[in-house]
Amino acid sequence: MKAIIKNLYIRAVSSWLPENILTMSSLAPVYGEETVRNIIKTTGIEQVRIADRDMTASDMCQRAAEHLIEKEDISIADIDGLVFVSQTADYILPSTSVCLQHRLHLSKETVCMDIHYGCSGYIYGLFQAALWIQSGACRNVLVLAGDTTSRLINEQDKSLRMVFGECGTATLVSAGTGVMGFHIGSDGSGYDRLIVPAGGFRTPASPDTAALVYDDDGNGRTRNDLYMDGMGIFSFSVTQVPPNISTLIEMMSWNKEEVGFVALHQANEFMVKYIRKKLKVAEETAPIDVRDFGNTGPATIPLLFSDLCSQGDAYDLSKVVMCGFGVGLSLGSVATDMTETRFYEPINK
Amino acid sequence: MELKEFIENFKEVFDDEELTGINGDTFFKELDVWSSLSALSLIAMVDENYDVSITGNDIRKADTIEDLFALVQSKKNV
Repeated sequence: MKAIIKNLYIRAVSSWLPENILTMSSLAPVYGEETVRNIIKTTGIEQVRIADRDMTASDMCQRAAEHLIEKEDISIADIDGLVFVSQTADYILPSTSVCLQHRLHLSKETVCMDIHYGCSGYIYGLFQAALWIQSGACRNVLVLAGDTTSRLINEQDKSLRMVFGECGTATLVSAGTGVMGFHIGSDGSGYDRLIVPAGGFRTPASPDTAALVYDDDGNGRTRNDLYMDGMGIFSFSVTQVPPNISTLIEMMSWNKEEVGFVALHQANEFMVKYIRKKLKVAEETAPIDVRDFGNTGPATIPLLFSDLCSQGDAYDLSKVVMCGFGVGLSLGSVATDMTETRFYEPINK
Repeated sequence: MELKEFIENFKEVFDDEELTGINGDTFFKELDVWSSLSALSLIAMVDENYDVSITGNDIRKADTIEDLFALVQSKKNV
C-alpha cells in the first residue's frame, strides 16, 4: 500500500518513561554472567524501564498526552480524533482509546480507535490519523503509542526479558500544509514468528497452555507468554525494510542523500546497525537509542524523536523517514517534513 | 560460489575468535563459540555476501557447514 497524503503535519511529540529501572547486569545471577555480557554486547541494551504493576500502557500514554496538551497549549475541544496503538490494552473490550477520550476529558464528538500492532504500530497510527484529517473528519488527532510488554514475557525467557522496555508516547497530527508519504506492507505467513499463542479465541488460556516448556537455548515460556523467533524477525527485517524505504523515497521524489533523519524502529543495536548498513546511510543520520530504554515496541520511534530531537538542532528534519517493522509480520514507513514539529523531552528521563 | 570461500565467510561471523579446524563437515552448532546470537550474524553474512535470505528454520534444519552451503546455493539458483 502506497499513499501520499497532503494538508497535514506532525505538530508535536512527547513521551513518558516509568521510573523503575531494570539493569541487565542485575540479571547476571539468574542467567549467568557470560550470557548476560554477550547479550548486552549484541543488543546494546544496558537497562530498560518497567512500569509499576498497577500502571497500564494507556496510563503511560495518558501522561505523555497530558504533557503534550499542556505544552502545546491546545484547547481540548480542538482535538477530534484519538488513536491508541498497543498490544497491551486495558481490557479485552471496550477499546482503550474510548476510555482515554474520557480520561483526557476530550469532546464526546471525538472519534476513537485502537490499533492492535506492536513494533510497526506507530506507522499505522499515523496513517489512521492522516486519513481522518485528509477526509475532513478531523483537524487534530492524538496518536498514543505504548506497551507494557514485560507482562507478556515469562521470567525464564532471557531472550525477551533482556530486550523489551516500556514507555508511553503521544503524537499530535494536525491539519496544515505538509505532506506525508506512506508505504505499508504485510506478510501474514509469518504470523507465528512473534506471537502470544494462547489467551485469544483460537486457543483460550487453560491449565494446558500454562505449562512451562524450555527451548534449546534454555529459555522457558508457556503458551500464554510472548514467543519471538529472533532469527525469523531479523531475516524478515533486513530483507524487507531497505526496499520498503527506498521505494518510499522514490515515491516522494527525494534523493536518499537529502534525508536528514532516518528513525528506524529501535529493536536492538545489532538489527538497527545492520539495516542502517544496508540502507547505506550515515551513522549520525540513523541513530541508535536503545542503551537506556531497550525495545519499547510501538513507542520506539516517537521516543527516539522525543529523546534526540528535543536536544537542539542536531538533525536536518526537512526530510525525515521513519520505519516500523515486526509483529504480523508487518512493516511500514513514513516520509515527511518535521521542521515544524515540536519535540518534548521524555518525562522521567 | 565455492565451499572454501563460504567457509572463510562463515569464520568471519565470529569476528574476535580464533577458529581452526573448520571444514564442510563441521557441525557448526556444536562449536564452543556458537550461540543463538551467532545465528543472527550468519543470516546477515549470507544476506550480505550471497544476497539470499535464510530463516531461523533453515539454520535449525542444517547440521554441517556444507548443509548451509548447499542451502544457500539452492536458494541462489531459484
